[in-house]
Amino acid sequence: MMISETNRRKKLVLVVEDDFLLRMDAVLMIEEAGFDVLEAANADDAIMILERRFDIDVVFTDIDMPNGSMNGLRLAHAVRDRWPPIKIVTTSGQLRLKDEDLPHGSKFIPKPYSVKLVNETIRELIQQ
Amino acid sequence: MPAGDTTRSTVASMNQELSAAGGGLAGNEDVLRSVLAGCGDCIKILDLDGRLQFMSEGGKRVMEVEDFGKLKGCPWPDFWTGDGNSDAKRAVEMAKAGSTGRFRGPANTAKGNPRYWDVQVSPIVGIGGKPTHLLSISRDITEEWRATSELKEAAGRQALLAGELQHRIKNTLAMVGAIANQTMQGESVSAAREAFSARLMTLSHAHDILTQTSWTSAPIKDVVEGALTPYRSGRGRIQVSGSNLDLLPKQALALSLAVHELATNGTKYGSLSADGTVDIEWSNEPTETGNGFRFTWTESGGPSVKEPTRKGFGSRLIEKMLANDFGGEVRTFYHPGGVVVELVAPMVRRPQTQVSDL
Repeated sequence: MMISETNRRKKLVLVVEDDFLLRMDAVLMIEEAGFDVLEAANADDAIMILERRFDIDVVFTDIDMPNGSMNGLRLAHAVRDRWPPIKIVTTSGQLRLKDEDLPHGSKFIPKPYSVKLVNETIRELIQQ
Repeated sequence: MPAGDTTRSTVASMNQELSAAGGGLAGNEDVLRSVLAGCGDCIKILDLDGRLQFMSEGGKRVMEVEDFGKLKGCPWPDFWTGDGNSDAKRAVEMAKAGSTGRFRGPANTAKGNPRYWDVQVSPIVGIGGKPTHLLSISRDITEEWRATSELKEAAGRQALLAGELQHRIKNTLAMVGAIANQTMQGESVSAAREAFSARLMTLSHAHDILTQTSWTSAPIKDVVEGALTPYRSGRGRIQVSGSNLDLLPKQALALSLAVHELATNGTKYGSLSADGTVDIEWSNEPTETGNGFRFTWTESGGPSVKEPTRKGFGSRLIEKMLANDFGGEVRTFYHPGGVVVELVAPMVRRPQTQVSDL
């Protein structure tokens, strides 16, 4: 039986979060949901990783990242402009955004989030 | 009824009321003089072009005018600047047209002291029903205005504080959520519950220390001692030494969680499970590598220890979070005599004041 390329490997998610504890938690949570995970501590590092890797399927980013040249919202727009196929999940403990406030192919989930919500949100985006 | 007739009928009824109040009051000019001298409002008469013609005695007092001769004939709206100037001109036009113009605004007294005024300008109607002069009455409402603006400022500060507090609470909730998620992994319910409560207490203690400085910094000694408190009463001895340093909020939270995890491990498996000791030391001196801050946790006199085969959340808090939030490196050595954990990082701040060193 042939297994198609897209089904053979786990989907790869890039987690962007400036707080160490929250990043660790998000990484472990998304791994637990069945994805491979890369991590970045700010938007600039995330852009660097995206420029070097061509296998990232989803960017999962915090919005409130005051240190660095851009916050998560600007990162989401940059990803949409430069890497249109990549899906984007944004999250924030402070802001409550609607999916319409975000670039096409993005979703917003509020912090704190559950494994179930993270898992469902990522899968829904990938299936679009 | 034309405006002039209204005024005349008001005068008639006023004279009636004055006669009823006492003999010799009606038509007595001394009554008018006493009113003008006694009234704390600044009562002025302007000509129809808004030029100052007369100012009451009480008015000179509140306006701090010593020589009215210098002011007489000056355009009254020019005493007001900015919005007040156009408001005053508009009020003059309204009074000229027969109605009353009102506004509020700031203007200095003749001696340059700032005051805030409630102003009304109305026509003085002569025979024939047309305004011949304008009456301008300004009431000093500086106190009231100050109180109002202070209230507004206080409300603004309050809103800012509430926003800041909200922000902090959200961050703390996210942190607690992450600790809960990670603590509940693969442990029995009762063990997880105990570990979670202990971590929350550590976090809470670090918050107490940070609250004292409005979340700007935390003295390292307080952070370390706070995290050690539950372990002071057990077996083994803990010694702490190091200079007074101020940690950033992030560093304070990371260090208190790390010290808590180290002490927990020490109590379960290390020197604090026997009659051993823990030496906690730190130093902060410039070095060639740039990593001038060194923090060490040295256990001795306990059972021999081996590197664990599986590293859990506690180890991550010690090795990863501490390294990340200090921007340095953490190394763990499993010496036969006990565990040694060492953090080297860029220098941290010295305290602004040295009072607590004394």
